[in-house]
Order: sequence, then structure tokens, then C-alpha cells
Amino acid sequence: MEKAGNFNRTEIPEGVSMRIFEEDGGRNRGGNLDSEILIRKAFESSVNQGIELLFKYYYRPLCSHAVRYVSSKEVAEDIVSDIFFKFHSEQIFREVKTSFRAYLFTSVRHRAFDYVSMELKRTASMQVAECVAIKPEQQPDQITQYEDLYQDVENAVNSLPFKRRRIFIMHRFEGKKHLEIAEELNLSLRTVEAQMFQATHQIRALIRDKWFVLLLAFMQ
Amino acid sequence: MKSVINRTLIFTYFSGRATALQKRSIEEWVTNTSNLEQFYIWLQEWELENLQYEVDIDTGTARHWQRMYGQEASDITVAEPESLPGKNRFSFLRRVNWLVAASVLVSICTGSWFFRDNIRYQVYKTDFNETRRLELSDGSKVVLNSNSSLRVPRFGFGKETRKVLLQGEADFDIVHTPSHQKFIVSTGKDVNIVVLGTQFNVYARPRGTKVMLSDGKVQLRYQEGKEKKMLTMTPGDYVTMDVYGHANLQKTNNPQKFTSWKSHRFIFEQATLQEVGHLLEDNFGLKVLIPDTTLAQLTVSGSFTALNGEELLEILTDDSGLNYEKSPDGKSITLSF
Repeated sequence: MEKAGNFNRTEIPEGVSMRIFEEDGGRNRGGNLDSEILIRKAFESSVNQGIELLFKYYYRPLCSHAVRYVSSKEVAEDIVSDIFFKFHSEQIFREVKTSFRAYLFTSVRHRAFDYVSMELKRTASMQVAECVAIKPEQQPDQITQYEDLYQDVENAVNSLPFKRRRIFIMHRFEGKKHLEIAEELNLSLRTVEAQMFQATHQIRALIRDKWFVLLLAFMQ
Repeated sequence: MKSVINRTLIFTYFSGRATALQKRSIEEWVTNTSNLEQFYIWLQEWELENLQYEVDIDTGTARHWQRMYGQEASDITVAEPESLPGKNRFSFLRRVNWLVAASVLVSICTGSWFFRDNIRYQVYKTDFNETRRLELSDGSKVVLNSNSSLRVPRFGFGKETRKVLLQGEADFDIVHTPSHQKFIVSTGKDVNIVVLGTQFNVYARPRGTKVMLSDGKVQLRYQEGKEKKMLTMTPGDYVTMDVYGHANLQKTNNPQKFTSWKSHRFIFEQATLQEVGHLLEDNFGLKVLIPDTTLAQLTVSGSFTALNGEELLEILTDDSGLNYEKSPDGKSITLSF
């Protein structure tokens, strides 16, 4: 029996937010790394406690960030979960040179980028793939390409016709089954499936136009 | 061209509204490692302000423990007493006992001293962890914070003058009389607050005096060294006076911060843990020891609802992974990493 309750600490009253800074943290320079001093201290006394704090501070923003790329709650949480698992089981916390925050966010962004390119590759026709000359120097070395990607995904989703977008979000984002959506929207199962197919295609087509070369290169 | 990289620009950029030029300067800016760290701090902040959905941390953590430790996950407790010797959870009963003991002690110590005054003054008094709302005979309203006392003359109040004596902290809402009679709050430390009709908060404890004015106008009469001084305050002003009688006038744009104690809220703006400790001592009689000087200088921001000192401490330590340990007599608490 899984007893998640063991890991729950006292609920924090609603609307409470707290940040702990180093004294000079407010000036946003120099003190940045040290703002994780409490987490590092926690790791010193117990790894589990450190991990728990990492979850507390970063799990929500990380999932929220990942979902912008993959537009699925489930996939986003899988990605974040994988990263925490690796971080913990391979004891990466012992060797990271950056802040834990920077490490976790970078990993999530890489993994999400990976995921999008996998999806594109899976659906790319061989013809296109052959035409594309892969240039390794086109790997995403600029940080802004990550923001560009999730913003393009967001715009692609937004560009879907209203009904299609709704079905897409219900399925991908809220994790509802085709049949559930059909019942909820009073549509036939076929319509839902067709709309989902169209939506996925449309989004991929939009992303591919701009990203195919880069994402493919990134995969090498 | 060099544009200034700040939080606003980065937030604009995250939400996809940055120009190509701005993106270019961000790219350059993040090549510096400490800027890159700042970039992720802002990304985290921005995500928290624009969460895509309500993420459930508990499910996430539960899944993680399951993946790490499999079935045995249920046997692992993060706050294991062995690994965290400092963490102490008190039973309700012990907490009550301690409070009773504390209040008895306070009554014995202070009771005899007050007795003298009891004839001349009506004394309103609060224990640790108690606030009290009063209405004076002239209709003025006072909310008394924990561990405070207000002495109101039994005879003559509202006739010649309206003068009260305050020890501790209180929030005043003074009625303006037709005869423009002055209302004076004396803190007994050569500080008198003279008002006509107004709303203000007075903090008069051994560590110093603070007055915050929300509405109206007050005059602060005080003694600095041998000199008698006077200061007029306007709404939003707050004055802090140190133990030497030196006054410092500042403006606040967050007056609620000073009176949030009325609704059991604690608002901190970059308050050091040391300052939080003082607050616990003033209001709850808990002496907070922070042996580690780095820790004492860590700051806390945010607002918290807590009915007593230990609850507040628990929220603070829980959220930050700090430990606290209570001394055997229950009068002091030691904070550590």
C-alpha cells in the first residue's frame, strides 16, 4: 500500500507564499546561488529531505513549463518525474555546478525539446527527411530557441478552429479519453477521433515548417 | 544597441512578446553564468505566476518515492526523528500545560506590580497569544495585541483630558469629540502621542517604539537626550524610535503590514529571522535563539496566518526545511539548519 500521507507536511494556508532569500538576494546579483542554501543544507542532513524541498520549490513550475512544449499534462509530469528520478538515483545533486534550479529547468527544457522533435520525426515523411541536409551546428545553442518553440506550440494550438481546439485540449491536456469527450460534447466517437487527427496534423505541420531542420539536427 | 535586461523584459520575453532585437540581447546576456542563474530564477517566478494548470505536488512526490523505493516507500518518512533530532512535535496537552504555566507566571510577576494602579486605573491586559477589542467610554476603539496592557484612568477620563498608558502594542481608532479634546497615548518612555481623531498603531515594547498612522494626524512628543522634541505625522507615516529616543520617520505603502496582527496575520517583507524571533518573543513569550549568524540574517517575505507562535514557527520551518527545538522548560526555541 502506498502511503503518500507520510510525505505530506502540514498544509500551508491558502494564499501563503514565502520566499527565503539571502540578505543580499533582493539585489539579484551574486546571492543567486546561495538562495538555495537551505536546500543544500537539507541535502547535507538527509537526501530525502533535500529532494522533498526540491519538489516543494520546483515541481509545480517545472510541470507548468514542460506542458507548454508537450501540451499534455501526462507527458509533462512524466518528463519532470524522469528528471527527478535521474537526479536522485544517480546522485546528480552531488555534482551539479549550477544551482539545482538551473539544472532542473535546463533538463526539463532539453527533454521537452527532445520530445517535440521525436513526435515530429515519427510523423515526418521519408521524402522530407532525405531532402534535409543536417547541419550539426544548428543544434539549439541559443536559449531563445526554447522559448520560441513553446511559443510556437502555443500559437499552433491557438490557431486550431474552436471545436477542434477544445477536443484537443480535453484529450491532450486534461487526459480525457476519446469516448469521454464524445459523450461530454455529444459527438460521435468518429468525429472526436477525426478532429484529434486533424488537430495533431495541423499542429505538427505548423511546427514542422519552422522547426524541422533544427529539431532533426538536434536528434543526431 | 544595448537594452537593459530586467525582470519586466524577461517576463515579456517569456510570454512571447519580445522583439527580435530584445531576444538578441537576452542571448548575449545569458552567456554570463550568473545572468543565466538569474534567468532561471525569473523563469521559475514567471511560471509560478502563470501556472498552466494546478499541479499536485503530493502526487508528484508520492510517485517519486514509489519509483525510488518501490513498495517500501510507505516505511520511509522524510521527517524521521533519527535523522532530524531537532524536530519536535508537541502534543496538544503539553502545549496547553505550557500556556497555563506561562500565563500563571506572568500573572504572578506582574500582578503585584499592577495592583497599586488598579485603584486609579482600569487596566486592560492581554496574555501571550491573546488579542482584545475594547471600546472606551468616549466611544474610541482599541485593539490590544498580545502581551500588552492599556491603563485608562477611572476618574476624569474624557473630562479634562483623555490620556491612556500603553505597554505593548495596540491599534487605536479615536473618536473626534465636539470639543476637540485631545487624546494622548503615553508609552511611559517620554513618548506621548497626541491626537484629535484618527487611526493609528502604536508599538511600545522594550526594544523600541513604533507608531504607524493610517488616517488623520498625530503629534509625537518625545525626548531625545535632554531635548524635548515634537514631530507631526501624516497618514502612511511610520516612526520608529530606538531605545535612546532617536526617532526615524518613514513612509509605508503597506499600512496593513502593521495592523495585520489584528486578524492573526503576520506579514513580513524581507524580515530577518532575527526580527521574526523578536516578534515571537513580544507576542508569544517565546525566546528564539538562532546560534548560526548566517541563519539569523536569512530573510522571510510573505504573509502567514497563525493563531499562535508555535503555529507560525511550524509554518516557517516546514516550508524551509529548518529545524526547531524547544528547551525543556518550553520558554525558548532554538532554530537551526
